[in-house]
Amino acid sequence: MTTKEASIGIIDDDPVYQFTAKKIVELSHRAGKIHQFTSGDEALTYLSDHREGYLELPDILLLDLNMPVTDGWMFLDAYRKLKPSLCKKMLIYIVTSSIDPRDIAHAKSYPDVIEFISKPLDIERIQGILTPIE
Amino acid sequence: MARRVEIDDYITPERKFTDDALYSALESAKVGLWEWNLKTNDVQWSENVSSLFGLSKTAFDGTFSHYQRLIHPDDQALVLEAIQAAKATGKEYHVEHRIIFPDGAIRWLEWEGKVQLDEKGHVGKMTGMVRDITKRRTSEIQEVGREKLFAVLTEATRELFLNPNWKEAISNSIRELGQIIEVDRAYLFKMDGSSEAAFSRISQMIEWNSGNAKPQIGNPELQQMRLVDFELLFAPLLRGEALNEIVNSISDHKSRIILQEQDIKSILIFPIEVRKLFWGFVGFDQCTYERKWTEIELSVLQSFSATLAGSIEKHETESEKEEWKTKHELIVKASGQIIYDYEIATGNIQWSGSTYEELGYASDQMGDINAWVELIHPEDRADSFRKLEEAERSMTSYDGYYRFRHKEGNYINVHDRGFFVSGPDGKAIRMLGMMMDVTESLARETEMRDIETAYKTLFNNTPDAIIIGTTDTPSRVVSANIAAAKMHGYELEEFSKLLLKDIKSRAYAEKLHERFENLLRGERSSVESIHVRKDGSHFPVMIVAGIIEVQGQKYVMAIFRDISEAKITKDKLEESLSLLTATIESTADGILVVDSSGKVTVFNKKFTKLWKIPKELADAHDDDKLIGHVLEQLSNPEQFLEKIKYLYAHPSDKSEDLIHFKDGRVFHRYSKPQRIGDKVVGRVWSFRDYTSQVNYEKTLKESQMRFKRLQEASFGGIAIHDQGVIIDANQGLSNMTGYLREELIGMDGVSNLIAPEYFDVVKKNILSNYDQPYDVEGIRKDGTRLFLEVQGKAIPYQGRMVRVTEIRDITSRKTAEQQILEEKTRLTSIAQNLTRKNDQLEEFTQIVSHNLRSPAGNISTLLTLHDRATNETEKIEILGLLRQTSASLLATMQELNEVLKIKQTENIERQELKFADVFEKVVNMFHAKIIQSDASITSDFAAAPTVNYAGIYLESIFLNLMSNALKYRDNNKSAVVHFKTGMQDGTVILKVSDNGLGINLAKYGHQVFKMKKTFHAHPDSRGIGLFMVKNQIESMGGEINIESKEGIGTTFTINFDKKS
Repeated sequence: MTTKEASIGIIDDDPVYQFTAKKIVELSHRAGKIHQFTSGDEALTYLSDHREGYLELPDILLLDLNMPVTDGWMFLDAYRKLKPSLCKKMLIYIVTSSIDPRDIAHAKSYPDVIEFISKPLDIERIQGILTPIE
Repeated sequence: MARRVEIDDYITPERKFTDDALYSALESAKVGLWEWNLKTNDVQWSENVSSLFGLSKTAFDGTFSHYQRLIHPDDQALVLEAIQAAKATGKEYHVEHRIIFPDGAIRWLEWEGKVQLDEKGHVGKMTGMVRDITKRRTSEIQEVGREKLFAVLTEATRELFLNPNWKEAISNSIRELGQIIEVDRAYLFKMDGSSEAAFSRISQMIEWNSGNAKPQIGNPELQQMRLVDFELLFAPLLRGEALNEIVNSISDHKSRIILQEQDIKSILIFPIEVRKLFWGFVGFDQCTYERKWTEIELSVLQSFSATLAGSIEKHETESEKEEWKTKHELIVKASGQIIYDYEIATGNIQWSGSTYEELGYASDQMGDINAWVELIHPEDRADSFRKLEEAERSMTSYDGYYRFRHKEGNYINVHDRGFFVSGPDGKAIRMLGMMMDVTESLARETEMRDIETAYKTLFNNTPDAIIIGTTDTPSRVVSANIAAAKMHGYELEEFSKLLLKDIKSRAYAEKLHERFENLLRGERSSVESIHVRKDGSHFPVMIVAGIIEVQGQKYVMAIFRDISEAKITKDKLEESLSLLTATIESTADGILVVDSSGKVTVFNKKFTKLWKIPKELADAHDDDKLIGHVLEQLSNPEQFLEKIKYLYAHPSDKSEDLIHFKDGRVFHRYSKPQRIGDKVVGRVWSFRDYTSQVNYEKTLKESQMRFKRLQEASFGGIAIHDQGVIIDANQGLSNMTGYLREELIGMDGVSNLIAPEYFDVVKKNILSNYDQPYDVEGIRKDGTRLFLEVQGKAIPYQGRMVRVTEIRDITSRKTAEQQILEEKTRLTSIAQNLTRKNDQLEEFTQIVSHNLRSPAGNISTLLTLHDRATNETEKIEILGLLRQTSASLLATMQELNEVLKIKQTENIERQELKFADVFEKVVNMFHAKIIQSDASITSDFAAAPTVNYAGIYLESIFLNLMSNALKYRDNNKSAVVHFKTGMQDGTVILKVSDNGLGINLAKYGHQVFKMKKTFHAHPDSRGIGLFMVKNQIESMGGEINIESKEGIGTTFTINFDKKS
């Protein structure tokens, strides 16, 4: 039934995490193209630039919260505004080292956020995320 | 100024009237004239103007201001307006206004005037007239509505004066009025007697009843009511005032009850005065509702009562006249007088009186002047007639004696006196007179002559000495009897030649003239005197003297009695003793009189009653038994006896004391010497039962004592004061304030014991009798302050109201309150500190979790990947990343350690630090970077050159802020960083400003000072500096704030000691 593999966007300022996340996604053998953004701004710029490119836009976003300049929350606020102009609706997963209940609660106020995942991210988890796409 | 002018002065010469008629016309029409010079403000009035003001001619000073004062206050403005209008327009002046008479009556005056222009056509003066229009105005007012009332009043008046049946007239008029004014009862009360009004009684006489209320005419309570019993009800009536009351609001209980028993709700009563004396009253009851009378109703009823009074007066006068006429007739008849009225022109005589009784003819049978002459005895006829003519001619009274013939033929002797009445021409037209039968008196005169002889005999033979003397000075003895001569040791012949002063002692002789004058004035009393005998010896006499008249000459007649005799003395003594006894018995005190030897002479019944002396014992006059009886009853007989002994030893002393009885009774004993002249002859004791007074005083004293004890026992202060002035105070207040009690008493407690800022509240509370406790600050004698709680209450004290104020020292309570307050503040700040610490801790936990979790997660993932790595290159890459991550983890751990150090070292040592030193050190550290970035770093620490702070922290603050400023500089401009200190609210502040990139605080404000927060994609951002600085500052009790604008720059403000 697989028609196409889901593309993933990883938004995180930590280069080590970017490396490990990319590896794990690759190891899951479920993903298609992997987009890597080191800041919220970078991700937003990309999304905005490709708002009409269905294939260019990722299906899933793994979003870190704690980033310099534009953090995860700010990204979510900006995304909400951007969303109507995008030709694809993305599934957003927050992946963060925070275990602060306040952050978890706050995340629930964003309807675009599917799940709040605490780091570290492992292969099983990624497989779980990618499964519904099939 | 103004002057009063005679009317002649006022009228211009060409029109001058001297005719009295004009004057009296003005007077009777109540019209006055006036002229007002508007330029000089001079007013001239005709003389009668004052009467229009109800003033005498002299009481009105003629000035405008005096007139103005008389104007009714409500009309003042009206009058001034009219004057202004007339002055302004030059037209006619017309005003009607009220004035108030000195007796309070209100009168209406109408003023009419014309403005007169002077030669230049200016308003010169105003002249006009003023008249009394009270009648018109008041009738106008009363005619408004209620013509019916007046019709009834008119009808009632007509009835009262025209109905010959007087009582029926009153009943009818009261009924008519009662019906029309719709009352339930109308009635008339009349005084029972003519005695002094206040003490007499009054009874209901007539009542009309509407049928809605119970008739009261048979109510015995309303008969013979004593005026004094219902004083409040009758007092206004006796003053001539109406009584207009709502019964329920009558304060006098007795009066209210008697009215309520008759179901009266409102009562209106008018007094009736007949010949200026209170005669009774007419009243109207309303039994169904509380009625308020309208002015018109009141005035109609008032006039009715006046009319009623008039009719009663008329009736009484008429009936008295009738009575007098009848009485007079009776008197005339009883005295046997015959009255005649002789009409000279016709000769007719109208006879009345005792004609039948005296002459045997009825009055109408007596006939005319000719008949009179006929009846006179022929021998007396000519003389009588001559006398009559003479009297008529000279218009003097006629007085003659003649014999007059009785019908039966015998003659009686008459004394005829008549008076002439003259006509307009001065001639006699009639003669009124009376005749009296003097036959008997003439007979008595004969008898008198016989008696005279008898008298002479008596005069000469009576044992009482009688002297008749002249009333002039010196008085001569005109006649004396033998007894008089003998009493003085003279022969009668010898005695009759004496002067009165010859038989008087010198002292009395000198008083003789004065005595005679008294006698001549009609005094008639007996006096004592000392007379002198021929041999020069003196003796006391009692004289009864009087003035007698003998042939038109006045003489003194005196009867003497020699009172040196013992018998007379005894009589006199007995007489005065009986008087004394009566006096003694009539007093309320028990009285005992003892003579100088201690023997009981007199006591009264009250005495025996008070001392419970049985009759037998009292009658026995046994002193020992009496004393024994008395002593038995006393609780301290020794003291009683001692007092008696003392007083016998000191007979002229007065004494006053209380004697206590075994049965609890207490007598007040008063003793006073009995004197005759200057000599003490005994002692009078008076006793009064004082038991109830003493008990009352005792209770009073006890309660005072109790109060005193309570006062003394109280720990607090108690003061009795009158408007703050201390009447009494207890020891507690003395202890509290440091003043002696003696100093407190009489002191103004408010201004001496209370702190000035509380004066107003304390005075207000005293004035308003506030009785709840309240707090004030007090001042002790030594000037120190104390907190007081005071509570005062008004109490009666020696006949006035004072306040008893309790004063409690609540300084300890206040201090405790203060401590609690301080403690609370401290706890609040601790709690705040704890909250802050808790927040920091939580934040720290999050930071720790986040910042450790991140590299730890990376390591764990990298290790997994390493295991799964398929080639060496990959493995080497992963190992490199592992190394990098572990290094980063270590660095984070170190940073956290530093922060932990700050958090743990709460009490890091403070020292005096110079900002300039720290600044210089930091500038040196950044030397290279400053040059590299071409930054301008300046400072100004003049306002606050030093701070007491932890050295390493201050260095850290400078270092981090300098680093921040250089790191986030705007590359488009050369960097400018300025360090400046200052004082704010007493604490040192530091401001570090730059012109760098700035931060969007709206976006990042909440995150600026968090760990690992970086807001710029700057390679050096570690996100630890500001977090450190903030922790350091807060651990020292300060705070750091940021102001920033993107593209403009940032200013950090550090307050080094926020707490203070």
